[in-house]
Amino acid sequence: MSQSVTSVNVAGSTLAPVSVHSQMTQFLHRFRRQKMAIIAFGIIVVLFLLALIGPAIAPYDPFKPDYNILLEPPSSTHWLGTDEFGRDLLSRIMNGARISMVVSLSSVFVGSLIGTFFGLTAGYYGGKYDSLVMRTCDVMLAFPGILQAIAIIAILGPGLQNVIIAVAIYTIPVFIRIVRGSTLALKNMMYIEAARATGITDRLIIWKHIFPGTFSIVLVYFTMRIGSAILIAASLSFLGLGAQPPLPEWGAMLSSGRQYLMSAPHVALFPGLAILITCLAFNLFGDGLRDALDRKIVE
Amino acid sequence: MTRVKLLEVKELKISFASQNAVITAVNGISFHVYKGETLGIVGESGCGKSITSLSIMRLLPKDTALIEGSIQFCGQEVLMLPECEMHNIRGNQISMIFQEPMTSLNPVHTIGKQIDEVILLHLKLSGKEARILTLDMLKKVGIPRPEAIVKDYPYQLSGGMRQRVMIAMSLVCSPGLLIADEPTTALDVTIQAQILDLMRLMRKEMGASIIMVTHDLGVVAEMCERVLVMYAGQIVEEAEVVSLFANPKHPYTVGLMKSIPQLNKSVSRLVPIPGQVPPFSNMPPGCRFAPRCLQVMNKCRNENPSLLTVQDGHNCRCWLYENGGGLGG
Repeated sequence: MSQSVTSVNVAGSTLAPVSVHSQMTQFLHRFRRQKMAIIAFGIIVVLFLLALIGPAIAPYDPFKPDYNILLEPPSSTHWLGTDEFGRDLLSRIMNGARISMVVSLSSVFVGSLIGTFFGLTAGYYGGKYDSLVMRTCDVMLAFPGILQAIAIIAILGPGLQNVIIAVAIYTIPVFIRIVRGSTLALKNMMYIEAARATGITDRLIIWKHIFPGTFSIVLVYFTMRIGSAILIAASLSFLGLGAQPPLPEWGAMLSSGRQYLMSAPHVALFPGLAILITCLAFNLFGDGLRDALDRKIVE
Repeated sequence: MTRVKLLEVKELKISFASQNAVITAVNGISFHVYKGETLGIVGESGCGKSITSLSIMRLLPKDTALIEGSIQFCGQEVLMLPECEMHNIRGNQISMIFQEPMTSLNPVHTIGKQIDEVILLHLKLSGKEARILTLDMLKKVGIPRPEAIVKDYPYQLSGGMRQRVMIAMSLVCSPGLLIADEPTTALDVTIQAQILDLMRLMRKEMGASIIMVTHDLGVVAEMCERVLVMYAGQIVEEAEVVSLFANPKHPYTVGLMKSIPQLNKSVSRLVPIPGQVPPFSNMPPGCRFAPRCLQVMNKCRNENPSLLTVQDGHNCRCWLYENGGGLGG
């Protein structure tokens, strides 16, 4: 008997050091092992810095034309060359970072907020409400994303603000689906029943006991969705439905540079590269986050 | 001597609607729990004991479970109460300990936060006062270093420790009734004994009544004053614990006793009860135990006996006792 008691104590004491390292430390430890995700994280930090201070440190005015240096290739004075109005491309891309970040972050934030709310409530309450929410999702997901965004822009009219709304609406059903899925799994857990047995109201159970369980998935999808939000926002601008010409939006820049693809490929190349690197960074970071947050994969 | 009935269940019938049939999992059971008493509910898996305890808390899914009969707690009809009043009863006046301590705590919150939550929900205390009560309660249930443990997550504790935390959580608002649904099943024997000791101590200190749902007759013998034996959704025997173990009446109870290994007897093989529990969708018309009973009579196959009083406080659902007769052999 004393044997098993001591073995329990031993188990307790070997577990004790773990309590010193919180779950956050464990997460960081796992995340650190993923080199691509760390590089991606570095790029995202740079993008955030650009969005914050880019316009201030840009070497030239992104809007001021200079008709003496039209479509000049990269040089020591204009590192990435100039566009068809002689505007410095580097300055425009640096300014464009802010637009892309604001559009993608705000649209995905709004979309995930609404999506998570409906996902949690639909999964928890079930029944007719759940069917209604899920069928609405099915309808929304039946359209290709870009087509749906174009349709929304067609109703609301072109402009950056409407791009945010369109991308947010496009993001909602995806979040509803994944959050509902994990809510369904979580609500049958013993600890949810135990929590109900302590007299907690449904609203508090959803908010305090189920939402934290879905949070890691929401976080991962949030990161990954930013990449596709940037892409869709750029596509809409490319089609002339989003940011309007003088604005240094990457998609709009790509669209206007397209005409000079043969004579001055850098005008389209650099905004395109900016879009590519940003999307890639967010997706790789999301992947790394998922691998670090999901213990099953690690084990 | 008249004792106060804390809980009185009358003709409780619980049915579940499945796609093509209604399955009655609990069929007309009646029992009561006195103040300060420990009542054991014994039976094999699927006999309806857990469902009965969940129905007292009104935790069965509303859309599929149909509950009939009456459950009175402190004179209030629980089945009639609006949901908002149930929130006040759950965890405060009636609380529950579950079978699996490994999964009954939320993995994303610390132990302290989870116990605080229950206190803040039911008692008018500030966050600081709640934490003091939490620490005090954890100390009472024998957790060493409660100041450190409150900051731990459930995965950092062993099963026995977690069950102690669950007990602390269920008793922190001093409920009148504690429903323990197989609280020791998932634990090894040493920890089981510790947890049972703890529950006995807590009952003494806090004066709560306990309903002990279990399939372990050893736990019943150690903990309970009165026992209900359930079989296929019905009570087949009800007795004081001493009377039940000394003189089991129902052939099912006798069979259960025979299937327990005993330390003072050397037997090469234990005697099992032949056959299986009939499925709820296809119950025999007579006594539900008849197909497995060794003393089955013709009458048993056609008519289900009612719960007959055999001795004072000892009831049994069996035709053998129709005229006060006894078990032959």
